[in-house]
Amino acid sequence: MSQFLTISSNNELYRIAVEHIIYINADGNYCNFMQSTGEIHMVVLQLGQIEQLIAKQISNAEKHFIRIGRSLIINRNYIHYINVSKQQLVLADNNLSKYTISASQEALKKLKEIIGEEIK
Amino acid sequence: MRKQLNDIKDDEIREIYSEGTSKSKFPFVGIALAIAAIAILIVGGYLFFHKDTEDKLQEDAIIEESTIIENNASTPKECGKGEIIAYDTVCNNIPLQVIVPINLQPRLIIGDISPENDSIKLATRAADIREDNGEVVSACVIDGEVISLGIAKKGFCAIINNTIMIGCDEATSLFDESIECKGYFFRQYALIDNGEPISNRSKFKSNRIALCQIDNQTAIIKTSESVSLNTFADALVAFGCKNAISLNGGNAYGWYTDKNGTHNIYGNKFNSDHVTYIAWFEK
Repeated sequence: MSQFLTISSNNELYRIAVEHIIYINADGNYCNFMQSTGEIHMVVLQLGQIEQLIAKQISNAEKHFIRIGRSLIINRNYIHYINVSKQQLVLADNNLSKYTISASQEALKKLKEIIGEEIK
Repeated sequence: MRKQLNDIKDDEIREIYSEGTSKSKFPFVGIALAIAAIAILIVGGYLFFHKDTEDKLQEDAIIEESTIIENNASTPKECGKGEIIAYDTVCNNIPLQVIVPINLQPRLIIGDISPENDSIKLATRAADIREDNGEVVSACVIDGEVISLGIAKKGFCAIINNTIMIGCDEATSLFDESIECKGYFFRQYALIDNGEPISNRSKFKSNRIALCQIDNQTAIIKTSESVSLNTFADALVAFGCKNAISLNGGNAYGWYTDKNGTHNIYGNKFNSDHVTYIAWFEK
């Protein structure tokens, strides 16, 4: 059974299955959800508020989501490639669509360590 | 309450935990610590209330002695050692390197310098120099001496009494003040003025370097990819810069020395007396 993240405002409600979220990036006071369909959905919330909603609504959220810096939350299940020196993070979904994102070297180094721990 | 947007830096990551989930891999450690704390309080309380008079007198003597020692140690605190803090971040998808000089003395220099000068902890090319006559473009003051005049570029950096002021003003009084105070002054393209990015006509893309003011700190921020001045300014605003001017970018030479003493050099050096650097020296 899928878990869903639901974001509700006065006028609209956005509900998305966790596995359909590739990443969420901040854009000022807005955030964009990159969905596994390739579509981007914008919500009028800050990334910190979305992080709170994830913590509230998703059980075992740590198995799904990692916050990277001030402007990114990724679905860790889609991590495909990390290149620390190029500051490059590639997320890939089941359809092998690839999403390349920039992040700081230090953050990627830590991410690489966390993911590396999983195979030990 | 969970951490809010700005409680994480761009070089940090964190796994997002569901509410009510313990982040600790050892949940019993917290309980053990709490029991230990209670035990310490009980033992401490017992000892405190059961000391006899003699012990109390001894204790008073010890306290007095330590007070005297403290008073004797009234030599002024040493100034913090100067250092460079450097880190990578990403803003608006632009990878940035941030270099922050701490407790160092800034100066403007004309002529060749190198990392072999151990007293310089950070140096980067500053004002533009005209190719035809080797003169500094726009107004320039070094050690209170006027080197050149002009307002071709509205952005400015004034260094007066070791304080750097960055802004955008054709008629700033800081030019005169830098002369009076034997300070430094130069002009460059303005990128940000009071938190607002300044639009620039040039769409030319290049590696960029800026001198920035963030809160009360000054930093050198450079890109590792080619961007236009407008894109660079937007990224700096997103990073939180309040004022910024562009410095010699592209492959302009510079370096910083980290706490391990390693010289981190960027750009290409060509030996010439017709170059200007903003450099931070050990005090």
